[in-house]
Amino acid sequence: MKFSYTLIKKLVPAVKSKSDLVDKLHKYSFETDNLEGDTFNSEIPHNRYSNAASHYGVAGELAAILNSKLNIKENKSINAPEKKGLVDVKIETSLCERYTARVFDIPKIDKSPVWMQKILKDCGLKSINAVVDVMNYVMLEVGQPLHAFDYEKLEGVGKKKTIYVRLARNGESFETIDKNKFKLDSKTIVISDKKKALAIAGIKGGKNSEVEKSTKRIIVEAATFNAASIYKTSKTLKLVTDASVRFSHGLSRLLTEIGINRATELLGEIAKAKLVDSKDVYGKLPGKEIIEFNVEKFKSLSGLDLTKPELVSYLKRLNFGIIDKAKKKENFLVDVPILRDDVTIFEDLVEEVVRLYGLYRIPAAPPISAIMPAELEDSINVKYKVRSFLASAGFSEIYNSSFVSIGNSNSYEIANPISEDKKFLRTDLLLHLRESLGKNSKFFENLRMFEIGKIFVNKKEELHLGIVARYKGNEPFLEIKGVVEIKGVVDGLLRQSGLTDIFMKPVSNGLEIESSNLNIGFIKHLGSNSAGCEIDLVKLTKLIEEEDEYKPIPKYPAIQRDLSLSMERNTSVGSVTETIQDSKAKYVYNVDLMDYYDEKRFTFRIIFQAEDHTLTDKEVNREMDKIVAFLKSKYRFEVR
Amino acid sequence: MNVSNLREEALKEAEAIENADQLKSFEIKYLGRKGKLNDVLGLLKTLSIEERRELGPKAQKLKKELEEIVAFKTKEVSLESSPQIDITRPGKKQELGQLHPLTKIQNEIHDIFMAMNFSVVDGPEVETEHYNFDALNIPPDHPARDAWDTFWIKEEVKKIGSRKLLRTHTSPMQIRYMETHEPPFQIIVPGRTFRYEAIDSSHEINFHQLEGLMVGKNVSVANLKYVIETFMKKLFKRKIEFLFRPAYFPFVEPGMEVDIKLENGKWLEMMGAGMVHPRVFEEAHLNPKDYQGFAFGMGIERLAMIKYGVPDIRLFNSGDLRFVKQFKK
Repeated sequence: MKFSYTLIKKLVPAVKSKSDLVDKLHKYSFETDNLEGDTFNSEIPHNRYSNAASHYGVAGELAAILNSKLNIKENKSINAPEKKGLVDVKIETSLCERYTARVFDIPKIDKSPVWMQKILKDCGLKSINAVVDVMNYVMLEVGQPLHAFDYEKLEGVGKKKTIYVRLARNGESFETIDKNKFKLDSKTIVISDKKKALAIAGIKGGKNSEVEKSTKRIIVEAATFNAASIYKTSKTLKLVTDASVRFSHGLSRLLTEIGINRATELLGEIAKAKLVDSKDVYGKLPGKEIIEFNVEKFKSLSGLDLTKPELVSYLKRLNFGIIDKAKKKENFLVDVPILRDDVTIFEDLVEEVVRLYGLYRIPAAPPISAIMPAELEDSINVKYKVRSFLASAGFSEIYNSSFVSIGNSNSYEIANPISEDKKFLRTDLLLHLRESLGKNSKFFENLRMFEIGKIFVNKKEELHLGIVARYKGNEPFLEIKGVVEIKGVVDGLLRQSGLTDIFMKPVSNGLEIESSNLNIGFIKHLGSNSAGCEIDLVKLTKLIEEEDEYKPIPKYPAIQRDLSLSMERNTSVGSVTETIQDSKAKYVYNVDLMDYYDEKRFTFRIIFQAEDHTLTDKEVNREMDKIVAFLKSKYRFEVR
Repeated sequence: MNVSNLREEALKEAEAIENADQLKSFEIKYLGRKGKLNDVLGLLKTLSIEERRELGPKAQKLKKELEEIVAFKTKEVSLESSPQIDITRPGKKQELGQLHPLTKIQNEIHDIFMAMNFSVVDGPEVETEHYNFDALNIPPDHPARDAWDTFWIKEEVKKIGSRKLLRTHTSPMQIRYMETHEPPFQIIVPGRTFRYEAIDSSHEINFHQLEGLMVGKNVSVANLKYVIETFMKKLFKRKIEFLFRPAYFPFVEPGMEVDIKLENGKWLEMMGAGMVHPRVFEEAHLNPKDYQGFAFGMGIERLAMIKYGVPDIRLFNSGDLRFVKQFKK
């Protein structure tokens, strides 16, 4: 929100310079930065629109920070004439919390004075004429939006004009003062006369009641509306104005009084306007908030050791009333000014003191706490392990977007996607990883990449690991190299994670990875010398919770034998390995493929070991014979 | 004649052999025709049968031992000087995998906080309106909520509060963790978050945040400052100037923002922080009279951009290996 340095300096003469003001507000009140010329910008906190979104409010902050006087005249209470038969107000919706209307006779509508035009301009507003400018200027000064209607343009009975605050009819059309047309719905509050809507309440006035040069009598409105209602209407109509922003945040009902009195003053001074009638309709005004200030609790919460008199003095600078009548002698009561509707609990007062003391001045102190073991959650731990394993194995990590362009009935769809290609949440990691293969293949010969991240299937999220590899070159079997590499890496990863029964079940175009009868992922041939794999890391974590357990180291030596076979073309290595394992040969400790010469010639290495004696050649030969015999019963082959 | 002495002398000498010449003279000296061992064996004839019986096997054993040593040393020496092996050939290239810079910085962050006794916790990326907003004291239909532009999940119309969304910050984990854990505790929550906003060099629609939460009986603003300052100094490995200044976040009271001074002298906003709002404790079913604590939240990309000098946030999710491979350490 933009502010005028000149106006602030007038309200708080103790302010030294603009840059000092910016620095002070930034450190003690709210984010503030210097703009060109006479202007500075403050980010008014969302809960402080009643008391800080105005020059009075900002001046109050500065007076507190500088511990100096505020040059604001007490509003000499204006004796507003009532029931003169010129205006009446009827509130027909509970969404209007207060409505104050005053009728002024104006001899002539001129331009506003130059000093006022300058302040309006510095705060980003255009000068229109004296009446409209006073409305806007008062909003800048005190924070209450005001609106002026041309009295003569309102329908009335005789001389009397009645203002209705009501909900719009569904489909009611309305043209704003800047000639934009809107269709309203029945949730919109409008200001209306007997026949037509005059303004979208709290947002914008209408063309039909605009104050013009020729206007002789005006009705000035100062009102309070339900914040959520204005917020929603402003969103629905996509119509954001200075007034709508303020009302959306919620304004104190006390502000209407302050605002309309200031407007009465200025209209008299500038336009020689004469107040001729008025009407103020409101329910109960907000009561005073009294909060007990617990001095001990303040110390404990802030870590700052301030005495009671010091605390009192900080709060007084911010215009809080102090009543030294708390139940506990060391505490006191705080009387919160009505406009400070952001202060409702003790912690709010703590904030007031610590910020005025200077948050940056509070000395840092190490927490004192019982030491308990710090823990990494399983899912985070598994990420650590998998990442370091894969990096060591030569795989690099990338991060991709959680959004994808295509989904299915099991996908989460975004209700308000930012673009067509980001309409769904990813259901796997491979989709983007494959794209990454394509993007990176221009720059690298061989690619090995992985990603760890959340994916979303069946309305649930899972933590997945995706791995891809792609190879270029003239080596034999390049087409399968990716699958073989990834298979090896996954096997290593799973074994290092502590899984023992790893089973890779061939399915069309790939392998399913199983352990303890649980499917934890798959490896897939992706074409063009690429392969990919995707593993559910949460399932993996569940499988690896067991401890390592010592097993006796074998006492007797192992004997290895190689078995070279010439099989029929396209016999699967996996099934031959399984057959060897199933052959009922004794002492078989391990079977491994040693050499894959081509699609029909493989060499297996079989390791034999006995727990209770050293195996003899004769024994091993006997078992080898059994294996070959068993293989013969299943395959046609020759031993090479 | 003392075979043991001879053995000792030979072993000592064998140990010092470094090249083929030395080995050759060693072999001649002990095992040669006129070598020391033959001397001993020659002498045997002159001894009595008893002495021969005692000394003979010892000498034979030593001979065998020395022959083994020579054979072993021959191998060793020939390996070192073998002309067929070109030891200057490059080593077999080991493909190096790199971790993503956001992983690296997160690992570092975890280590720093673990060393300060913080646990590391994970949370869901698809959240409910309740955890993301309502329970954090961010009122519905209020401009305060506009600070978190939200992606909503398309679903059958649901009760207000249970509507699903992509979490806009990691703060929902404050509630989730407090619902299931009795203080005192201190945690950090790293994770992916989402904001509906135009993507440019400093804005991403999916990015990462780090949440911190410490709750106990006496946790204070002063403690918050200590933890944040210590963390930043450890992460950036230098002295840092801080500015803690007031700011409004509905789920903390008092609330603040923390700026740090960059090496180029500019101030940069790093995080929001504050003391947990009593209403947040109530939402998590803890009595605010019993507990107090601090919370903070910051963007991990921003930390990484400063630490590594990355100029554009979009690089992190680009999937570009040329980017990732720069982060070798």
